[in-house]
Amino acid sequence: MKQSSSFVKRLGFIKPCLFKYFSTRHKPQTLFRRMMLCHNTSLLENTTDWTLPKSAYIHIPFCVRKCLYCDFAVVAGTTNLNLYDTYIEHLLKEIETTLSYFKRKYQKLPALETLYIGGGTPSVLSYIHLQRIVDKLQQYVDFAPTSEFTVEMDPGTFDLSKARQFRNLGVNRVSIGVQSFDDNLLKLCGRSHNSKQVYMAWDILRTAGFTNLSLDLMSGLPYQSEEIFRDSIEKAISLDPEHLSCYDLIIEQSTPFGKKYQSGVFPLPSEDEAACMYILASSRLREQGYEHYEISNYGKPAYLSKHNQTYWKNQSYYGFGMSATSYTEMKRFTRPRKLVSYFEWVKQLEKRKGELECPQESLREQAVDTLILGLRMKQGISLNTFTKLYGQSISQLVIDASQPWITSGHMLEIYNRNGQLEGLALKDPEGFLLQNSILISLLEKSLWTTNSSTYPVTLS
Amino acid sequence: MAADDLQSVGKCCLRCKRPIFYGTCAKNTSVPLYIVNYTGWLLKRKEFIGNHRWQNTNDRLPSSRLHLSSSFRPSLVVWCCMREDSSIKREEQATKMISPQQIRNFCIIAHIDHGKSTLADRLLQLTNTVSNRDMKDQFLDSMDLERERGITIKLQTARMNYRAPDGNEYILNLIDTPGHVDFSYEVSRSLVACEGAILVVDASQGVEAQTLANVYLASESGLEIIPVLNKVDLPSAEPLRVKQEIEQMIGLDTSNCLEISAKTGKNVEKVLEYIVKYIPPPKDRSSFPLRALIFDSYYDAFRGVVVYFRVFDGILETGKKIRLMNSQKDFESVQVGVLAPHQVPVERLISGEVGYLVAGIKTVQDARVGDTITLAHQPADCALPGYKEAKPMVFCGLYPSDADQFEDLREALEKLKLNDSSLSYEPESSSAMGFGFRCGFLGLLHMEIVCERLSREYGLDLVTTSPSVGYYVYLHDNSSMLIQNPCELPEPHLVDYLEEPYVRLEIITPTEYVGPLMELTQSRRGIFQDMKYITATRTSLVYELPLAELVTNFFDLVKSRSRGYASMEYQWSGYRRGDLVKLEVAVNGEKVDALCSIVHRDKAYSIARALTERLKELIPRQQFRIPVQGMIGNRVIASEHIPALRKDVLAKCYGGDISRKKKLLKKQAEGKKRMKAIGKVDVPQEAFRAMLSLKQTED
Repeated sequence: MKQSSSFVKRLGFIKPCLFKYFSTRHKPQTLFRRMMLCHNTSLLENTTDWTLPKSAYIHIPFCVRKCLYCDFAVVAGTTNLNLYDTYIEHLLKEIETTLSYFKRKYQKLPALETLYIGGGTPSVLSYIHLQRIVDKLQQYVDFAPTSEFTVEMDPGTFDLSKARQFRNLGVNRVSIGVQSFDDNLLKLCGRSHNSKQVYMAWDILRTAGFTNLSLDLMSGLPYQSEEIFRDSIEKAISLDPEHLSCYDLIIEQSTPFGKKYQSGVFPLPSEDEAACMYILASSRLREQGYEHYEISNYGKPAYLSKHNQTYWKNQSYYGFGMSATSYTEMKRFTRPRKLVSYFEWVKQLEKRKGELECPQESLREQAVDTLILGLRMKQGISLNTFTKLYGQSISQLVIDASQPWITSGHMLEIYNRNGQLEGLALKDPEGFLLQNSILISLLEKSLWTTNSSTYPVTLS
Repeated sequence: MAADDLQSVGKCCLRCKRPIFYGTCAKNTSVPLYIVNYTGWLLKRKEFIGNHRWQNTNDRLPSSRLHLSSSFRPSLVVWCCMREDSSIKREEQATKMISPQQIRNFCIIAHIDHGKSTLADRLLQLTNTVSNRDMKDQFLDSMDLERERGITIKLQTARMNYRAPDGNEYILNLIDTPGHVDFSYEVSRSLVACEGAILVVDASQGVEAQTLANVYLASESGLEIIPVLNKVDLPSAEPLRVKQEIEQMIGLDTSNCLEISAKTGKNVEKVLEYIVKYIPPPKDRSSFPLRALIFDSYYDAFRGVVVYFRVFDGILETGKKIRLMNSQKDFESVQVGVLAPHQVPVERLISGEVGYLVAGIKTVQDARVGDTITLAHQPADCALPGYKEAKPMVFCGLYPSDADQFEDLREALEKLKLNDSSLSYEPESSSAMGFGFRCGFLGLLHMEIVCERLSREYGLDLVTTSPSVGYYVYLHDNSSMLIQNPCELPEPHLVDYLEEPYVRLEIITPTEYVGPLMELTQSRRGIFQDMKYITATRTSLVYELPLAELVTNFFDLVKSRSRGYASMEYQWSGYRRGDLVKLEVAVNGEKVDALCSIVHRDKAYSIARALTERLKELIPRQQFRIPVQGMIGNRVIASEHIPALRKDVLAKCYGGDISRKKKLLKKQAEGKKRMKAIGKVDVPQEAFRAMLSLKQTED
């Protein structure tokens, strides 16, 4: 406890959210449990810092239609309500099996601080479905008083009564998939709505009383010029959302777009044009008072997504539903991406009484993950935590490897009040734009070695 | 493994009785040794020979021949006798006593793709040399690469027994030869071992440049040539026209020329009759002192060097002391045999026969191709005239993309060299590429094949520099030197003049393509020598052409300008003075020695411009702006720049996506690993071959 409060002191001035993160992190109970665990577990667990999840992701794979760029696990176009019911049955079974396993193992589970229902389009579900999910979760875990409960909702899939019902169930944040305000582009992307429906949806949600709305936009779409994108940004700003996600289109080979277009080749914007759109979004939104707190995410200061930060801080979280990934007990596991195989897997899970058959991530893997995820955030990685978890030598290698990037103006060093190097972060926007190249060079000089089974240097 | 370690441990316990050799493996380990006789698909007998203690070497055992079984104890299993009993019987027949009158030695010569190997297949089948079950297409092409590309690279020999319609038995020794122009030295080697040649001409394509070249080679060696029209089953076959061509261009009588189809087997049996009828038997010179000409050799890990030879005078027997006349070394002939086409040991080979010899020869250098075998106690007066050594024409640098693989590359080249004497190499180092080898090849195909074998058979990841030729440099101080690597060219002020190699090039083409081909040849600095209208529709063009212009992609261009109808042939013709300069390329201000080339002054500017443009496309954008300059000395003659990288793939990264993201990063990193770092710039391997691809786009 003493150690963690000293952290808080050192980190406190950098970011208020970080303060929150560390102060809520080690509750006496979990610390005690961790000490108990340390007795009979390996050195690996001894040195890693893991707690029981306080976040959960639930995947709802149903969509009205599949967008042409989408490669998520999605069941599109079905109106068969029986299928919805069957899926929810299996989902509930999975939640029940998993949480009762944790309950048996750890007696008391910490309250959920974030719950994210994504998809797919979760808003195609009726509130009864949603209620059953929430009830099932509440049988095993409490919801923290300040919990963030997000549902992804697409324009045209809900009305005012559904929005109110959702809100009554405890949903307090909605992420709305707009992607663009240009009707031609929406059509080209195979979206099921137009810009008019976006405005309607927005009014409905505000009327229903939601005070934390997030809006998704996309850049780099085919035939999308900088002008069209700028227009979408301006229209989004005029709606005054609390949070904005701006994703740069990635062409996946398996999608219709992947078969039709080639990255960087007309009608897709060139590398330079796409970079300009990114810079435009970054500068315009920051000017408007949004914090560019992650590569693709912007939020008003008090409205940064708590749930997504769980991912980027490489903390554990539950995952339920087809294709969902969970990260519990140092096991990162992705569920089957097909309905049938997911149903089959849930049956197997019941037989195993909720235990995942999946190896724990090695310390090296965790360090790689922490670096990849942490550098997505404006606050970057905290070197103290990094050193504590993965050792002084690795930490030093990362610092050394980042020097050329600091010189070239792609990375930033964060110092504390005493002038000690405290953290590393990517510079916005130059560093964010070249995240892959930077990560590769950092990893090659630190955690990736030619023989990747061993650490380049022994852990202290 | 040195041949000292080779020992005979016994004979095959089935009928072939051939001695079994073994090599050594791990140090001082004792393992039981078995010989397994393998007949057909069934394991017939496994014979325990006794425990054996390995000696000092730690050579690896090639798994195809020797098997360390994974059972309870390590044991060495030698496989032998992999043939059916019936084929052994056939081989026994093959070893019966014969007189030179019954022997016919011949080879098949043809332009590439005219059907040599297919005809060889049919002949082997007709004479029951290979059972139908073992038969596969291109039987004699044993290398994977040969089969895949449908070309013959190494010459191959096969002995066939033939009962002629007149009731006499004959021994036919066939030597299959490569058709590609790069390997014509292999052809010349096999010709010396024969008395006759079957000239295969495609009945639709007619006489091609390589046909002529091979005919000239064959008639120089005094061979009887039997023309045969192949592929007459094709609808496009025009036997009459082609016969006319043969008469006019080669001057062979075609009145009773055979029209065959090796694919369908039509008239192939007549070929055998013609061989017996028209090809003279070897002269009986068995009473003379032994003289046998080595025409091929290869290194076998278990038996040392195996040489293929043709006996001209005298008799070669197993167990005799032999002497190699040029290298003046004596060996004991351990095994003498014939190639049927598997090796079958015999007691003796008489004058006129073709066979193989195992004599515990340690290195290929001791038994060079072209050397003469004689008896140590009764040597011949003088050696047979040998061969001109194959001269490497094209050079390029081979560098491992991973510096740790340098030793592996050296080892692999050593091994390839054992069986490919025309390959030459010497270590060199480059500031851009690190340590590697400068290798000499017979031509571009040869280079391509060697590189492919290195990467395929030895798992090496290589960077090859663009090919160059050897230049003579004359300095102001009257000294001269031969350079094979353009980087070695001294500073311009020291150089008086340069000489570059020329070839005499002959192109045979349908008349309508003469214009485009002349244009092409002129643009490649060709000097016109001669033009002949061979028939009404076909023309032969003769040019003197700098070899450097030929080695890039000249052949492809000849093909494309003539829609595939023209064929070409070239011969070394000597060195000529040329106005040449060293063109260097600087990437981000650093000269890249691997991209250095010697070009003609008139072309330097256009090449430099095209090269820098090409490099701009090939070198991926990096975090900073990279200037790419083409230079002569210190003068920049062309300049481009690669703009800085703006953006990576900005995947959104939910929790589940981290493994995908990691894969993406790994993949991107792998791609980077395949590049060479020139200063701060990562340059992909293709860039080092930019000159090649450049020439392709230029024309």
